[in-house]
Amino acid sequence: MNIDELKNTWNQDDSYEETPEINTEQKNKINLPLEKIRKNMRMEFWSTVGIFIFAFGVIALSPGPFKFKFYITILIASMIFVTFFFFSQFFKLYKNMSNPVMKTYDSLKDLLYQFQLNKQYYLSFYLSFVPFLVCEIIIVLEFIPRPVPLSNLNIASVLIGTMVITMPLLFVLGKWWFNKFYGKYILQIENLVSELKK
Amino acid sequence: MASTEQEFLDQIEKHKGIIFKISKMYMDDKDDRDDLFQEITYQVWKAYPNFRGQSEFSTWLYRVALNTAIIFLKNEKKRSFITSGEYEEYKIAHEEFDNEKEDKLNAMYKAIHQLNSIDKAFIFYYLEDFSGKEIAEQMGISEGNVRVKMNRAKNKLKDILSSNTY
Repeated sequence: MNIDELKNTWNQDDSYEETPEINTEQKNKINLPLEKIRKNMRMEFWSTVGIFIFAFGVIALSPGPFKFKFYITILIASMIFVTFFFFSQFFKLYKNMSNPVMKTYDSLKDLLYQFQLNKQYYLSFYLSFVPFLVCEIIIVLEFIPRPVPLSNLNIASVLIGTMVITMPLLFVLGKWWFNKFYGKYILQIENLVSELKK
Repeated sequence: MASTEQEFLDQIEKHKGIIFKISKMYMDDKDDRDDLFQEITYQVWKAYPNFRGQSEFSTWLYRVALNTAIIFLKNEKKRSFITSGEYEEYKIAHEEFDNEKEDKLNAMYKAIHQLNSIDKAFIFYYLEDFSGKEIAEQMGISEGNVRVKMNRAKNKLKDILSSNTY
């Protein structure tokens, strides 16, 4: 068969009786990148809520001094505030996303722009946890009783050492996490946009 | 049933053939194809209040359908026992089906499946006899760009057709 015959073949395809039932309800399956990202974001939100509840439970049951428990509780409460702020932004963004009525290139560009905006939000969200983690390390160093108190040099070494090890680790982990749950869908749209632009 | 929904269902009923063809172009597996058909229907329904009648319903529908198909993701939990080479499902449901016609349809869809999502969209407009200007309008790119991409997509398809033996 050559390409000129294709139109005839195309017009001969009348196997319409195989079409699935038409309905206006959304099905349970998720097949669009936006919906996949939305689903993963929802999963991440609820996991974060679970982690916070767990953290509060651990603090409530821990035998530490009042100041230690109080400071950690305040820190976690602030983290919850930041988390809710970012997730509300994510979900607001998703509500406005995806307009299949636009011209194909514009529609893809729009979706990509929204995804990139979302990526920036996500990066800010992730980075906003760094000061909280540093504060938590400081509180732990200050309040956990030790048989021999730590010298200033020890405190500085532990703090800097922890930061040097955990920050790159968090960066790599965050990058892997983002690519696994969000990045691959963004890449798909990026490829489509560049394919149309070429 | 609300009159808008009934009006929409009537329109879709009239054009379900073309939605099905787009689904067949983009998905080689029957379940994925049915999912894409449902997804297109749902997306068209969601977008229906924005249809202002400035263009024909079919032209508007093609755009929404292709925009959905281009970004549609196959089911990740793949049914491993179904291969992309399995074209039994395209058999024409009529009792007296035409073998030659069926072979040609299988060959055509098999070749189209080897194109990327963007090339498939160009081939669709080519098969539906859209002019360069109309394609440019639908795709949001210049007519010159349409010519280049259309030639590229057609050449790719030609190569696939000539290299495939059926």
